[in-house]
Amino acid sequence: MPIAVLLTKRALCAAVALSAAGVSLSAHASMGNIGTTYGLLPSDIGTAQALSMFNTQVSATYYNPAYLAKDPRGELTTGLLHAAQELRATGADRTGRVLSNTPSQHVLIGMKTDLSSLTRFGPPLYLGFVAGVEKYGMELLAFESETSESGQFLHYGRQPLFLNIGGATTLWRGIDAGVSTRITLHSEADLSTTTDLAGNTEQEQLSVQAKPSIRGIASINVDFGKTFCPQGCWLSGFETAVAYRMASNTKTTVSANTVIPGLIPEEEPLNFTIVTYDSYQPSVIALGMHYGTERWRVGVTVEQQNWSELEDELAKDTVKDQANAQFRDIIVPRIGGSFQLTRHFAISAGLAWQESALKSDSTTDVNYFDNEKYIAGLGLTAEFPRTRYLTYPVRIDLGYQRQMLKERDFIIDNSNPDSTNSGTVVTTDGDIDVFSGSISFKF
Amino acid sequence: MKTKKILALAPVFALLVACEADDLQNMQRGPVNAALIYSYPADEQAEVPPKADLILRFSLPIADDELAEKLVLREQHTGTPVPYELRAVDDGHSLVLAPHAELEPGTGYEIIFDAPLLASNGELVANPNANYSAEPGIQFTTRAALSGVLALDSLASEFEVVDMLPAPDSFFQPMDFSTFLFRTSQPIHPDSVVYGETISLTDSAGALVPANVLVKGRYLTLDPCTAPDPRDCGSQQDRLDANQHYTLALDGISNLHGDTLSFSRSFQPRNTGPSVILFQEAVDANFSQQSVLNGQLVNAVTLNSVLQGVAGPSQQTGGLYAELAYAPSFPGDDPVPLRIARGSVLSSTSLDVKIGGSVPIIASDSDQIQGTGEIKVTMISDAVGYLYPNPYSRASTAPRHVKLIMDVAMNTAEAQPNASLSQNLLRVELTGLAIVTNGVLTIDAIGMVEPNLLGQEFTDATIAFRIEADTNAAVQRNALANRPVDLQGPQLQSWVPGPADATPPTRQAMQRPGNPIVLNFDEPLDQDTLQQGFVLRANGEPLANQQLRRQLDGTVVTLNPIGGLQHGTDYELDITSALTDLVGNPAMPETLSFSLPAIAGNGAVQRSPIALTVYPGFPCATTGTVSFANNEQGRCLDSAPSGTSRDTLPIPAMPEDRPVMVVFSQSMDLDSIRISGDTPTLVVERMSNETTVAEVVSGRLEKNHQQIRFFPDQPWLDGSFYRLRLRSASGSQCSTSTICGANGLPLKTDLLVNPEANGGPDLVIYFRGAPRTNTVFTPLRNLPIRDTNANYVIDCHSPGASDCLEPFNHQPDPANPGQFLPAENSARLEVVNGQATVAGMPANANVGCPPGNSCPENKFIYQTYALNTEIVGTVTLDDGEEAIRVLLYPTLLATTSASVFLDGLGESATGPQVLRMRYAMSDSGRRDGLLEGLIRTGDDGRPEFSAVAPLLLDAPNLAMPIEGALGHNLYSLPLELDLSGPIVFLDDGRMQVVQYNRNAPALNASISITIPLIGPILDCLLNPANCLSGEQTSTVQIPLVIPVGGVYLNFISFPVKNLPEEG
Repeated sequence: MPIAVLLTKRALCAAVALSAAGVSLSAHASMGNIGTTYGLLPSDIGTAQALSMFNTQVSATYYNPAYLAKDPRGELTTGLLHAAQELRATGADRTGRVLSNTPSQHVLIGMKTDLSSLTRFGPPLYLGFVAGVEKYGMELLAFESETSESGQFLHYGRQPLFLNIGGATTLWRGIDAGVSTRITLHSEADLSTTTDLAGNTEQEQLSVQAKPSIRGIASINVDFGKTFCPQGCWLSGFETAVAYRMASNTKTTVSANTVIPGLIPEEEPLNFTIVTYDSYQPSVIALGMHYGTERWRVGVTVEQQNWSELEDELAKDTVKDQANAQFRDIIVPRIGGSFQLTRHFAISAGLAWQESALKSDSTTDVNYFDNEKYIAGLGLTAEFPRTRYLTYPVRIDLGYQRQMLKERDFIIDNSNPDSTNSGTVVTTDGDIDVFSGSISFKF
Repeated sequence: MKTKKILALAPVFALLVACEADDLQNMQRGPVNAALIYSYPADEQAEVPPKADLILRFSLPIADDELAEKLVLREQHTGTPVPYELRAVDDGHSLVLAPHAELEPGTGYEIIFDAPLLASNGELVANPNANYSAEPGIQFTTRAALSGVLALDSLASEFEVVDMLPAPDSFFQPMDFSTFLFRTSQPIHPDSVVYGETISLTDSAGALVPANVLVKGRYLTLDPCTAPDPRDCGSQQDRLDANQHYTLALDGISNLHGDTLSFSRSFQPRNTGPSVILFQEAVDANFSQQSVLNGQLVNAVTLNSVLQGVAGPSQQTGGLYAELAYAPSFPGDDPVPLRIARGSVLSSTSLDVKIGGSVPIIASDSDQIQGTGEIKVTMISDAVGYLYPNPYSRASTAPRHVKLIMDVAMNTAEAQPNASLSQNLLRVELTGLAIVTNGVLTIDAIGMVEPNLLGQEFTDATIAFRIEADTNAAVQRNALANRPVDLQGPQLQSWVPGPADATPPTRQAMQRPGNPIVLNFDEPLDQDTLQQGFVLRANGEPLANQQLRRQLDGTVVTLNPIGGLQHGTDYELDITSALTDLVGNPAMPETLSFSLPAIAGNGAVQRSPIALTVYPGFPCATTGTVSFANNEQGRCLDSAPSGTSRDTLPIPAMPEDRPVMVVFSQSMDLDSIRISGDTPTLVVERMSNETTVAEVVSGRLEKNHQQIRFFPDQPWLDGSFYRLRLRSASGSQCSTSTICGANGLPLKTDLLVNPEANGGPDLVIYFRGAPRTNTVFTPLRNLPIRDTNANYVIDCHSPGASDCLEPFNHQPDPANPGQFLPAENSARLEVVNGQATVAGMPANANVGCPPGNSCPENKFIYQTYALNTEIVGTVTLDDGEEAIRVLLYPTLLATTSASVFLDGLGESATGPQVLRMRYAMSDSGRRDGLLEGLIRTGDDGRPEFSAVAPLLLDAPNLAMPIEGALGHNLYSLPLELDLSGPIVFLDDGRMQVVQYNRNAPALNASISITIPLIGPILDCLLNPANCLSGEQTSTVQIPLVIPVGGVYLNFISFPVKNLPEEG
């Protein structure tokens, strides 16, 4: 059975963990989001995001909003994603290998539709919307920002709410353009209280506000065939897309004022403010090239992720500013393809390589780990144009991705005088297995 | 299709069941850093009391077998190790090092870990290194001595300011509410400190900032008070301006020798606002809780001394309102300053007063053991404090350190202990730990105080403070709302000399010129109000303000007019309402009246003053045959016939830190007593051998009208011999080279030769330096005496009259109606059975008047006397009873004449008699020891003193009715007095010892005729048995006796506070 061959023991166990999703493991937040770290839908996951820019499904809203215009059919998609992570760090200051094995478990819902009939204008208008919620819908915010004496991985862990809405239109013949927005939350909490040294508070005031942060994604897709020779020529089947995604992050500001009778006066309470960021997504410029026929498709995507901007963000971050982390802009090449096996089934595969964006081997107190990784994906699509119960076609996707983190050494650096492991060399590596399944209804 | 897929998954699901997730890794928790977290004394602490025990506290218990080798306590400069005894407290978390002997004063010490110490978990504790100190280990310096000897009391040979706290550029910075504490290298003369003149704090415009200045010994405190109302000093309104530059200047402050210093420092105080008041309480654990630092009971005060033994513990309680600076303005390692307002009070429960710790004192007005009553410790300046992160350990669990330095005044509720203990204690330093436990800020601190008891001995008390601050808002609000306000003015509790109806009623008769007026109040007073607070009127005429010298110590005001109080003057002291306490509450005005007994009257004979006691030594001019090797210095000069056996005087030992002290029988002319200049009249020299002077000993002379003290600049060297010379000359002429009395007559030094002649040779006394001792030197004086002008004559037209200069004042004898009991310092003489023997035949004899006549008032002789004693400490007697051993220094006393009337022969007057106390027989078989006395609990529960005094009687001027060459045996005639009597403590702090004789010593006076030729013939006729042998039987034998209870000696100790005329 093809499925059994692919599953390793660890994967099996991870699947068991799937059923124990209610058990809370340490909320380990991170940089990035599910769209860039794994992929949104199984088709993205299966191709290691190589064919994501040329995906007619609703995930195009994120990767290449212009591609929403490609398939005029509407689509309603729902899916599940389970990323089982085993992040390992070995060092003299610890026993055992696994630093973190918090899974990322998302439930996804997306919709795309043709809004052309909404306006009297000519040009078609397509709308797409994707949302993903962590912990199978139980974790909406998943924000965590901390220093760590034992070290933490830069990516992986729980991801925050993924909200993406966008639209596309055809500019001219085969040239489509699309714009979408990614919405993240910036929240502020203000606490003011009078407390004694035993923690008994009185005269408390608490206010929490969350503002949306709207970041844009823009893309242009050129179908050479349709643009230059609508009748068909050697260019048919070639497509190119360029997408630009603005950087986004989730931010939380906590401001506290406390009065301690006999120690801190009311006229000038003790005040401390923490501003911190999480789930930072750098600005990305992606360039994709695709050639497809009826039977098979192949695509190459090159992404430039500008992680160096994270240095400025961390400098403003109260929790992580002392890390002096250095980042570099990286280029991620991806290659993938899909092959229509039968009328109903298609398989896809993809490979990608991502070098580590973290230049520093040692970040004070924060102790980030980040590795070079090889990503391999495998996907299976089944499409049923007609079913017994549903009017419209149904598509089922299954995807599997494996990310293999290359070994890298880091040096722990803690400024806390109580810590004893400063200077320890820690060897990190890891494996992530991502399982995803989705069902789409086309209408 | 679907079914196929589901079936395919089935075995997969089966496998899933046998799964387990990989375990997460475990971080190896590093070992908790074992480190020193606290020490007493703190690193670089100065002025540590020499009797202190040293305390170390660690974050983990120490379990090391080799602690004694690894923990080194040694002198910093010489490296000499100090042996100590080690004690673990709190399961090994704290270690207490108790040095076997007191540490040396004015010396630097250090505690070093020679090798890392082993904690109970295997961790090693390295040598501590405080982050504010450059040198590893714990260094500290002890305070200099408090003896009066310059070299022992100084930290340096130059008179200068050693340091200032807080100081700019130091770890403790000046704040806008700081109090400034100075330490000088030598003791400061209090009269030289005048705020605004010799010490000042000025702002950037040069204006003087109002401030209170306190000075004692080497400590000087300047406490600015910018609030207009003294009640608000120490409150949040009392602040310097943080925007201005201030200058502290000391110029012209002098030490006791007259050297001056000059010092100046500028600073800009840091802003501490907005500050908060934190209410803290000294925990009242009712003696149940032990301090984790040294194992002592928490907040318990135990006073250790020779005079009172171990007194206590007494429980200390009190609420302190500490003003804390705004902590966020002092981030990181900066100490957060705090201030405790002046006027804050800590009180302790009563301590029982027991002599030597074993003989209880019964209160004079009740039958209960005298207790101190509530002991109050009041802050007399704003206390300075700092809270800072632990300097020894960076671990997050290491508690913060707190340092608090305060100037306090001690006083007690009961009058007698108040007079003996009330004083200012400056620079009391507390070092402790501060941490929040169970929501309460808890401070554990160690502090040591050394109050001076009775002006004679420095006691010590180590207090383990535990202060808690509950920051619960309701508790703090409640405390602030109920902050105590002092609305009571100071009240007079007791005074010297005392009212005419005081206990005893002879208080005013015991006052002498040189004794100050001492006023004991019940709370500390404001120093600045002393000037206007007292007016002294002599015979109705008020003295000018600058004529009356004033001094404040604790709650005791000491006043002494320039020139001293005068005999025969009626004084009135007005206490006005200008005298206030620290917050401005006025005293109740009252007038105290007293007078000193008169000494000059119609035709009273003037006689030379004598030295009643000399310490060290015996106050008689000697024959001068000194032998250092034999430890003897000749015999007293007398007019006894050759062949009389006489005692040889030993060379006494003088502990290194004691002054030479001479007490006189009359007021002296102070200008005639000089140690320097062209013709010094008091010379102290160190001798290299019996005849050669090695050097003249330099020093400082403190002069009072009837007492002088010489403090050497250098301590007496152990084993070196010294010579003291008091210059005088025979005759009634004073000159520049004699010590003279106020009546113009030179000092009499050879009383035994002819007590009625004036002047005498130089008084030369040899003594030997010896090491310091812990015993307490207590000088006593015999007062009141009838012969107030000490001319050995009762200046009264008849002995029983009461309307003369020296009136009769005896109580009738209830056992013998018609007879009188002896008055203070008098002795009753009787002829045994009224029968004398004249020429072998019985003859009637009577003391005071011819036989057959009644003259009960004439039976007494009156003494002029003083006595030095040494309180040694507690001894256990054979029956298990505890008593206090007292040693008496032999001295001489002069008495008035007694007249014996013989039938047929008439009156025989003894003339002034001299009684000498003999040295005790010591183990070496020689008479060179001090006399032993004991203080025990009497049958009535009251303390009782008893001693057996061997005496020698001399009456060189014995007069006979028969003129001619007559000899008598009243030269060095031995007798013994077995004395015993109660000890009473007066409410002014003085001790009164009453002694009566329990035996009836016989004084057999023999008078023999020594007329040449006729004498032996007459004698042969009267005593035929002697014709052949040639012996001469005494012609007249008068058997005198002092009946039991016939001697009544009344000793009184010196006033607790001293305000000498000069020096």
